[in-house]
Amino acid sequence: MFKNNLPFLSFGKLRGSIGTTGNDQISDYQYLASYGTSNVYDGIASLIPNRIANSGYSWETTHKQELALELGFLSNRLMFTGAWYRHVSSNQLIAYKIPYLTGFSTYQANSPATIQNTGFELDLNARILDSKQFHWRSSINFTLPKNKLVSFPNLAGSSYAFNYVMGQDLSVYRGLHFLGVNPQTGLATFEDVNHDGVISTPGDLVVLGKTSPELFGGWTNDLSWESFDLSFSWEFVKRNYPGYQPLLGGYPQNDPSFVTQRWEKPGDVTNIPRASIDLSSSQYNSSQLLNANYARLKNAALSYTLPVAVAEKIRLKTFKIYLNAENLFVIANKDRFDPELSGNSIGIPPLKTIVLGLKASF
Amino acid sequence: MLAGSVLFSCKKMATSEVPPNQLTNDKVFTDTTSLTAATAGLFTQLATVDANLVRNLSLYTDELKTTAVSATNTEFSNSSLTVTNSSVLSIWQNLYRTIYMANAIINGLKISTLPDGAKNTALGESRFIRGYCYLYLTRLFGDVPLLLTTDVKVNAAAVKTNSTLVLQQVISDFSIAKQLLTTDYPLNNGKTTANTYAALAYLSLASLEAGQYNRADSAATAVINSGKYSLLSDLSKICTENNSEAIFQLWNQNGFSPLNSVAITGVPPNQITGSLYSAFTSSDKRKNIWISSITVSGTTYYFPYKYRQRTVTSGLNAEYTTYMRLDEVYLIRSEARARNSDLSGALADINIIRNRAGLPSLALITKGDILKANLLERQLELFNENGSRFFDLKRFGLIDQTLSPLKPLWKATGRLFPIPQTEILNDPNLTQNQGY
Repeated sequence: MFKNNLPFLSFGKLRGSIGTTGNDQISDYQYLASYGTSNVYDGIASLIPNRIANSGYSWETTHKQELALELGFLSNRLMFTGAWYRHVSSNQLIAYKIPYLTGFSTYQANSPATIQNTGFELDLNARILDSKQFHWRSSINFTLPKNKLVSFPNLAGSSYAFNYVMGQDLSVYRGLHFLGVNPQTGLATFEDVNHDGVISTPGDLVVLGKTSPELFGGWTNDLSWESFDLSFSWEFVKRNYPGYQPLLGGYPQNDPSFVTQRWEKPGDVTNIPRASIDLSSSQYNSSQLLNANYARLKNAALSYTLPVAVAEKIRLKTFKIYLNAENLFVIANKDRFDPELSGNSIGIPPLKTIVLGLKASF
Repeated sequence: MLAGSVLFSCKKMATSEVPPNQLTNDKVFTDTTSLTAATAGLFTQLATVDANLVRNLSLYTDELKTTAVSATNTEFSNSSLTVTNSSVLSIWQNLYRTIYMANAIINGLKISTLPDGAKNTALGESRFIRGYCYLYLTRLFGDVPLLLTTDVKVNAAAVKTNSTLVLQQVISDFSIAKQLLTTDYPLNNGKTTANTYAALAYLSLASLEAGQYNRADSAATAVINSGKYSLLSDLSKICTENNSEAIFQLWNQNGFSPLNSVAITGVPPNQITGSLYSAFTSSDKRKNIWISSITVSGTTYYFPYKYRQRTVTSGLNAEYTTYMRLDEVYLIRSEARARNSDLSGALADINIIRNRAGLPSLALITKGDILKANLLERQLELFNENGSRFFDLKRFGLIDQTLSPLKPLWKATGRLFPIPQTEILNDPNLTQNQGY
């Protein structure tokens, strides 16, 4: 019936699922305290505790719902999949954070949090050109994930009080609110949120944003024309992420070039604090949670294969010459970091590599 | 309660309630060998504290300067700590972890059927270690959570306990340890665990900190009169293993201590400050034996030389990290006596230490002069050991006037360390110390 009324459609499918799952990815006997062997002390192989007891944990549950639509057009040369999902997790079995004064940093327990993950996944596949000499296939996908803390009884009185905010993303990030660099002293100034006259943490911390991506995806292409092949793929992410914070004056090491714009003499107007043994300017603040959107050409490959007839004339079975490149370039705000580097550290960004090769078999 | 929930939640699946391949608490506390091993674990854990503690406290006061450059070190050198200092967190974390281990033994042995001898040794060592940890915690951080159980639900929400009460618990722990332990050292007869005199020496120190001078005096006297210890005439041997002056040392596998400051070549990373160096008179033997120097490109650098070994050493020259020596017991008693107005007794103890260093006896008369002489002697005798200088300056009320001329960023609130930020975040009932 649908088929006759929708002639432009060559394929159609509506699917949905609903279910409840648990989790068995935890080790055995986590409810008992136990000891393990440690270093020798004066001739005795010593024993030290390696686990704290928790006799009261139970199953975790995740309710999953998914709804998806798959469509094909033009004899399936164009395929579209759109999916929506919602996962609600509660009683998650996690390494629950506890203060070090308990002797440990975590223990196996049920998290009191109820967390909802929802999102859309969109996927488009196309055979754009499909002639005898020329082929072009392209596919693009997007994911738009969202998560939020639905409930957490007594959040304020828990060890997650400064990690989570009710109703918000789990990756909310807190720091001081940066008000600029004092042109006279060169030190960073921050907002005294609790009005107690001093800048202190956690009292003056505010939610700066979230670090989980709002959107990520990729775009891949394969093209061929006679004996030439070309393929390339892009990767893109939209999100904010903590940038590198130099400890100017703290210790000598290489810093990104933006440190040359730092405050140097009274009257300088800049957003980069002075180099000082007073490290208060380096505390985590709103100037460091930056736009980390990027689109990167992850790889590109071009190759030429000698036609078999020609190759045989020069007594070769196959002959191929190719050029492969990775991380050729990125479109991003690169002032403080490479967007793929994990946050507040100096590291090596993804390497740009270009390989020229020749492959022949006799 | 435990067994009940096990049966309830695993009725169908579990075939065995006790893991065969894991060493659960009930097994540890029903076997003498395991119990001894768990007791030895206390000392292994305690050894993780000292490298951070002693050297950083020397930087924090006026004993050492360092060539090491990191945010952590710079904060100690400036005597201006931040709440995220990783070394402060490490000290806190390791002291509390040691306390957890001591509490696990003390509570685990409540239902144990092991013979009294083994039990008393383990309990005595645990009380000693717990007392030591709380003594340092409260002297560094002031009011701190006083945890005496291993119950994670209770401990994770702990509030601060007044430092006076913490010190009371310390005194109680050392007093009980003193009774449970014997005059022999339980392990290999070296001094690498506590005996009754080690407990008495620390009881004396804790009592001095608490202003209980009679007990400080009597506990110190019990150690001095025991005849088990004597001051070495050879000052170069004070950190050697099992020497006659040592009361409590930590075992080092390779016969040298992580606290040594000897440079292999070039500029030593940890150097004696000018103010400490000039506090010694030229006839003081300690000046040339406990301090060494090296000249690099025409500049002479002085460094602590109490620990002399920095490579694998065995035999009589092997060195252990030394926590308590008889000289300190004399100085504790001297101070307690001076504050109790037993001036001749106080002066006699100072002179014992001075004479050993090749210095003439003093003939002081006033209480103020004797206390001043005591503080100077503590500075010269105990530098770069146990962070004594920091605690002494605080006890004598001289920390501000001593450090503010040397450290531009010094604030009076620097007398207490900051509670590590992550602890405040993970235990919302904890409050930060003033000034941080």
